[in-house]
Parts: sequence; C-alpha cells; structure tokens
Amino acid sequence: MSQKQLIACKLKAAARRRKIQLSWQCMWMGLWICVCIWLLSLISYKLFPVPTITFFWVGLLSFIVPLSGLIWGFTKKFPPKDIARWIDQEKNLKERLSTAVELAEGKPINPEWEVLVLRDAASAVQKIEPKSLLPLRLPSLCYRILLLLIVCFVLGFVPEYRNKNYLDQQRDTAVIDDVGSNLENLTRWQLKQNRPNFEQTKTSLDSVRDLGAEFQKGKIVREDALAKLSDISEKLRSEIKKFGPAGSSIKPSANSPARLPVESQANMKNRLSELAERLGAASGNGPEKFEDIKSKLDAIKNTASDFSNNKLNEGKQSRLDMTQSLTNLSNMAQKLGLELPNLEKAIEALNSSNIDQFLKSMELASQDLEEIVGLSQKIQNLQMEIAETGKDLSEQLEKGQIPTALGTLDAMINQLESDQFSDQQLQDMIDELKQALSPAENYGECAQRLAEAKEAARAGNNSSASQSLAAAKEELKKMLNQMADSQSLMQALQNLDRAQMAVGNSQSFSTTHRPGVSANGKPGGGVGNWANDNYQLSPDQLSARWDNSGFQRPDTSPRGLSDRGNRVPDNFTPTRIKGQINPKGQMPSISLRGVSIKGSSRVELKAAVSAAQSDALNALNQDKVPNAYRDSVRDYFDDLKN
Amino acid sequence: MTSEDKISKFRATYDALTAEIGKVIVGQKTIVDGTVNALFANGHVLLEGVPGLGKTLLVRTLSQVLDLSFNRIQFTPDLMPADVIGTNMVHETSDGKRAFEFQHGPIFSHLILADEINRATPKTQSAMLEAMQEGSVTAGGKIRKLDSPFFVLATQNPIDQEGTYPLPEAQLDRFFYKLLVGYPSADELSEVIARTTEENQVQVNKVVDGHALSELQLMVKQVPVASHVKDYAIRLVLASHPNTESALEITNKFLRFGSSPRGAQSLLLGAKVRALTEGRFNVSFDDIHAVALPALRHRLIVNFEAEAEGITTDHILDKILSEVPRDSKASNT
Repeated sequence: MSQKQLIACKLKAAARRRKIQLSWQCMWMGLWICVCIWLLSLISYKLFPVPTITFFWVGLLSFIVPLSGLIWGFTKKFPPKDIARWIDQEKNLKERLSTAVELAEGKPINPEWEVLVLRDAASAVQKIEPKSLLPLRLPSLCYRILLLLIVCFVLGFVPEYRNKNYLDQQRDTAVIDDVGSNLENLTRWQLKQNRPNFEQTKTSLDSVRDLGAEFQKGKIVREDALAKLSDISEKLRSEIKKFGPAGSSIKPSANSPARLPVESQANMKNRLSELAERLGAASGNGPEKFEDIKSKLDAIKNTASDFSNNKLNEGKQSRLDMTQSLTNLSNMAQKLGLELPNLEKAIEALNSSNIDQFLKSMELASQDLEEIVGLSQKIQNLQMEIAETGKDLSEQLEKGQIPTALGTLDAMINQLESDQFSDQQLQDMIDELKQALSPAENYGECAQRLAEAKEAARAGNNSSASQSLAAAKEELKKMLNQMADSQSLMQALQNLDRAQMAVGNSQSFSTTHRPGVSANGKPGGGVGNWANDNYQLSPDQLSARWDNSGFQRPDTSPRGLSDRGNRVPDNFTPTRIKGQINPKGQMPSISLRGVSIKGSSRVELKAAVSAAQSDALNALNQDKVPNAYRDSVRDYFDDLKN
Repeated sequence: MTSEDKISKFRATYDALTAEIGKVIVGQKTIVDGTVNALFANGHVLLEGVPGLGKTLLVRTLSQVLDLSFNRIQFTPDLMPADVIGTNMVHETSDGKRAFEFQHGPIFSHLILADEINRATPKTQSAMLEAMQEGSVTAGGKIRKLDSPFFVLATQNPIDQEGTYPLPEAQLDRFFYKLLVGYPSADELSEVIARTTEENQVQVNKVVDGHALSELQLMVKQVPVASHVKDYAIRLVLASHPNTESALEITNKFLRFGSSPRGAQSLLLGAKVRALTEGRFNVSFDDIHAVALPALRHRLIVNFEAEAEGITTDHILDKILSEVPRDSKASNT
C-alpha cells in the first residue's frame, strides 16, 4: 500500500468513525434538549393549566429530536481535507496530514518535497487507530440527562397549582361533557327504540342529540350550556303543546300503548272463560280460600308423615282425629264447589289403615289443590287486568287504553259490517257509544265520529256507522301516534331537565336521577322492578325499622335540669366581690362563706393540696377553665406548693 | 544533492551555528534562535535591549562563525549617509589626472552590525533602506549591488532616549525580526561572569560560508505550507488592521496602524525555517505562532491611548494570537 493509499484509507476510516460518533453525540444532545423541554413543560404544567395534550407533543418531540440528531450525524459528510485537519488538531500532528492531503490533491510543489511530506505524514498517521481516536463513550451530558429525569420524576409527585376559577371551569367542562354524552346516548337510544311518527318530533329529538354532541366538544361554557338547554327545552315544550290534548291532558296508560302489544279485550275474556271452565264450579272463589284449604291439608300431611306406621296403628285416637279433620276439609272443599277425589281416597285409606295409600293419596290431593290455587290466581290476575283496561269503550277511553279501545272499535266495525247482531246488541252498542262520547272528547274528533256512528246506528245505517267508527278509529290511531311522540318528547324534556339540573348544580348527570323513579314516574333503574308490590316492604314496615320511639335509653336521658329550684344555697352565695370579671382582666377577688364542716380531718394537708393540684391540672388540660382565668388558676395552685 | 540531504545539512548547519554561538553567548536562546532563524530566512534583525546584555557580542560571534565579511557601523548623531554607503572621492590617477573614485562604505559587507542605530539621524538611518530591501545602494547616480548574502543586525537601546531618533516605520518594516533582549537568569549571569572574568579564551569555528548559506536560504523557500496554515498567517496580519472587518476589539482600541504585507512574509518565512529546525517538512500553526511576536511586534503602531495605558504591541499580539482561531473548520468537524 502506497503512502497516499495509506493516508486515504486512514482518513476514510476516521471519517466513517467520526460520522458514527457525531450521530451518537447528536442523539444525546437531542435527548438533552428534549429532557429540558420535558422539564420545562412539566414545571409549566405544575404552575399553569397547560393542556395535557402538550405532553403528547413533547413526548413525540422526545422521540423525533434524538432520532433526527442520529440521522443528521449519519448524513453529514466529512471531506478528507477536513478530517485531516481535524486529526492534525486532535493528535497534534503539526499539520503534517493536512499538508500531505493538499499535496496529494495536486498542489504544485517540488516532487522531492512531496515525497518527503507524504512519507512524514504516512508515518505519523500509521499509528493512529480511528476507534481509539474516536471512542463511543457515554457523554457527560447523559449524567445531566439522568439528573433532569430524576427531577422530572420527583416533580411528578408535586401537586399542581390551579386557581379556584380554573378548577370550577374544569368541573363545569367535565359536567357538561358528561351531560352531553348522556344526553346524546339517551336520545340516540330513544330514537332507536321509539321511532318518531312525525318529522317535527324527529327534528326536535335530533336537535337534542346534536346538543349532546356539541356539549362533548368541550367548547361551551356553563352559562351558554344552560341557555342552550333552556332554549331547546322551550322548543320541546312548544312541540308538545302542538300535539294538543294528546300530549298534555290525556294521562297515558301504565302500559304504553305505543310500545307494548296489548291483548284485546275479547281475547282476555276468552282466556278468562277457558280458565273458569277448567276450574268448574269453584271458579267464583278467590285463591286465598283454596290456599287456606291447601295449607290445612299440608299441615295434616306433615303430621301424618311424622308418625311412623306403628304409632299411627297404635294411636287410634289420633287416627280418628285425623280422619275427622280430613272429612271436615273435604266438606269445606265441597262447599266451595271443589271436587277432590284423591282426598276421599285418602280418607278411605286411613280408615282401612292403608298408610301407604293414605300418604300417596294425600300427596296427590295436595298437588290437585296446588294446581287449583294456580288457576284461581291466574283468573284473578286476568280479571284485574280486564278491570284495568276497562270493560267497555267508555272505560277504555277514560283510562287511556287506546289499543284496547281500538280493538273494541274493530269488533264493533266487524259486527256492523257482518249484520249479524240482534236489536238488543245494537242497542247495547249504541249505549256503549253514547257512554263513550264524554271520555272521547279528549281524543280530538273522536267524540264527533262516535256521535255520528251512534246516530247512524240508531238510524239503522250500519255502513255509515261503520265508516264513522272507522274514522274514529283513525283519529284514535292518530292520537295514539301523537301520544307516542309526545311521550318521546316528554322523555327528552325530562332528560333536558336533568341535564339542566346537572349543569346548574355542577353535578354528574347520573346523580340527577331520582332512584326508583324513571320516565313517566314509573319504578325505574337502581332499585329493581317493583311491579309486584308483594315482594316489597310497606312504608309501615320500613318505618318500623328505624323507629326507635319504643326504646328506653337511660344513658341518653337529659340530666341538666334538677328540681332544686332557683335558690342558691347560702354557702355558695358570694359575700364579697372586689373588681369585675373581664376576659384577660385581673381575676376578681370573690369571697365565699364556704361550707363549714367541723371536726378533724383524717387527710394530711399535703395530700389534700396534691389532690387539689391534680384536679386543677386536669381541669386546665381539659380546657374546663376559661382562657382568661387559666394563668391565675395555675398560679394559685402553684402557690399552694409553697 | 537531494532535498532530503539538503534538509539534513540545514539542520546540521543550524545546530552547529547555535552550538558555536553558545560557546560565547550564555543563555539568550530565544535571541540566538531568532537571529539564526532570520539569517536562514535572509532577513535583518533589530535587537533591542539595555546595554550590557550581549547584543553586540552576539553579532560579533555570528560574524566569527559565518565565513562572511563583517563590518560594524557605530551609529552616532553626526554619522552621515556617506559614512555608511561610501562616497565619490577625488583621486589622482597614475597619469596625474584627477578623477572621482567611489570609496565603498562599511555597508559593503556580508554582515553588518548597525550598533545603536537609533542614535543616527533619520537621514542616515534612511541610507540603510535601499540596502536592506534591495541589497544595493545608489551613490553618485550609480546603483551598486551589495554582496550576497547581506545581513544587517541592528541594535538599539530602549532607555537613555535623549538625543536619539526613533526608527521610522519604513525602516522598522524592513527588519525581519525585532528581538527583545532580556536579562539573563542567575545561572546564566554566573556563567557570564565566569567566562568574562577568568582567563579562558574561547575559540569559535567557521560553520558555513556565504554560498552554502545562500543555498540553504533558497531551500527554505521550498518548504510547503498548507492553505489553511497560510490562511492563519493572513488572518493574524489582517486582525492587526484597525477599523477593518477582521479587526479585533483590542486592535481598534489601541492600534493606529497594523502590520504591512511584509509581516505576513516574515511570518511564513520564519515559520518555514522553524519547521525545518524542528525536523518537519511542512509549516504548522505552532510555527506561525512561535514567530508571530518577533515578526510582527515592530510593525504595529500603537495609538496614544495604548501608550498612555502602557499597552505594548506584544500585549496586542498576544491577544490577537489567543483570539484568532487557528483552524475553525477542524474545530467544527
């Protein structure tokens, strides 16, 4: 390898190494800058309400800057001339290498001199190892970086300083966001569950949903939020008013007609007659009577199973008593119209001392009775349901059972169209329509149509009556839709009220929900389903749990008053007072006559003084002595030592 | 003879010269090195120092070790230019006619000792200008070439200024180096006393003749200088120019005039000689740095403020040397 090649080779290696070293250093420098920025942002965050997104950007910067430094170092080019000059400086080569590079690059010079210079430079550069010349060590900067990172870590535990206004604002923003989220979700769910029947309703609900979305953007202040909620509430109220009586005056039924498929009155009656037929002659009795018989039967059955066969055989009297009880029970059942063949069989088996058969028959009789109780319960429930929905059109309209009313109207229309009814049935229909006129006035033109139908039916114009009834039915359907939309709007309005309450009181949306009460005042979330009140405690039962008026608490009885009267004993009446009692003032001199106890003391004066001092100290420690007198009292008892 | 041989000879000559001078001159290594350096660079030297420090002895010793002709001119206030250069004298020829004949002055010699040069009038001092720069003198309307090599060693006394004439700037600029001769150390003084008060005659040998010296002087000019080193010398000189872009703060504050281009020439030539004496074949920043003070100190002219504050050109040059970066590119790499 010639001297020129040797020099070029060394320079190339050094340049490559320098590139690596530079990128290494730049990366650490970048890291240092980022840690500084991180620390500054952390300090800023602790002092000022800097948005937390800043940390994301700083974190991103922390990744980008060192990487950029690394890349920049790698991309930097080092010409051989510059590297030669740098090595000259680093290794104190007295510009041998740089001069040689210049000469090698073609600077005109005496060739003999060129050879000399190149040889000199080659011998100097030969000993240089780029790796030892440019080591990759951790820079001193990394210790500072570590120190700053520790500072950052410690700073992380320092609480942020935020002024009250900012905290209020933050809380408001969080509440508005929470309210917006809830409002949007609830309205979205509402729109999905109850598709609006009218475009106006849909627009109104959409505006509520959009308001919720707007709240979640976090760009709205409390006052504006309240104003917007108020505006949209007003809008919804006006929408509800537009629906007229359907939206405001009609009380909706417990089962929403728009949501629940309601069984028609006729179906319910059919089911009732079927059940009654199954129960037979006993259908007129309530389930409680059957339950009474069943409980008695169960008691006898339990008694019978408790006895062993021997005992039963031995206890003749007992068997006779049991037979008598079963006979009485059978009579009771017969009085109620019940046929219990298994009970009869059990009596026979008992009489014939066939214990196994007796027990088996008793079990079957119990099962029969259980079935009868179930049937009776169902009949009662169905009867209650029919009563709730109303037995005729008048009641149905009055109770707001519009789907049932629609079914009734359908039945009437079918009857009119079929022409298969007697005069009495027609008269009954006319009477029913007449009675329904008054409650129908709440349903728009329904009353008018029913009146027309009634007149047409009275005039014998069945087709006209049928048409009028169909018109009434349509009106009712329209009202039904209006009611459904009205309820949706009311639901949204209720949500808006809750939102207003939440924003106004700076509380979360969920806390505005009254436990146990949901939309329309029905039992709602949080406390289970109260449809069956039998499983709940009555108010009296509840109050019994916290009412402790019957308990005697002598430990808490007042002891402040006594019957000693207002008269102070003579011994405790001050005989002379010098000065006045003033806080921080001098203790006045009070002379009491004192209790005069004559005789000899068996306690030494020292012990008495010590006890008095101890009591005084306790009194002082327990703040029983007013502050103004503490020093004087302490001085007094201290003086007693002397 | 190859260049390598010449370089070897150069170093040998240099070492021999300093060794021979060292036999007579005790210490004063800087002065000896500076003087020999200027000799090889073919430059003149102005030696400044209080009396008794061996300035004249140094020059006399130098004349002894060099196989060259030597003249000493003692500058006095009544010394005339003709006393230095020579003059046309009426001379009676063999045929009885009278004719002008040029009588050579003491300047016609290889080595001139201009002792106490500042005691002569500026008119006489100016007589040296042409000789020092051109290596020739003009007398009686005729240019007369001086012997080569021509080397002026002038001395001047910084104290006892009454009746002296400070050298004009033009005259100063023609000196390659200005060397400040300082007091010897205790050991050196002891050695001086021993040598001068005891009976021991020191014999110095001739080391180099004029021809060989001229060859070595030519070789010095061949030493290569890297462009950035040359640039450093230029930047040093430019930094001494007040009220320019490259001027430093101290330059603007305390200098009236900066170095002439001769300063840069002196820097590089002196550095080349130093490189060779150090055994290198190229000039380094250190070489420039080492010769900067003797090469530039007499070329800077301080202003009144500097004189009032006692700021010398050496202070200013120190500042310039410390502030002007050697190789900015290498530092950034």
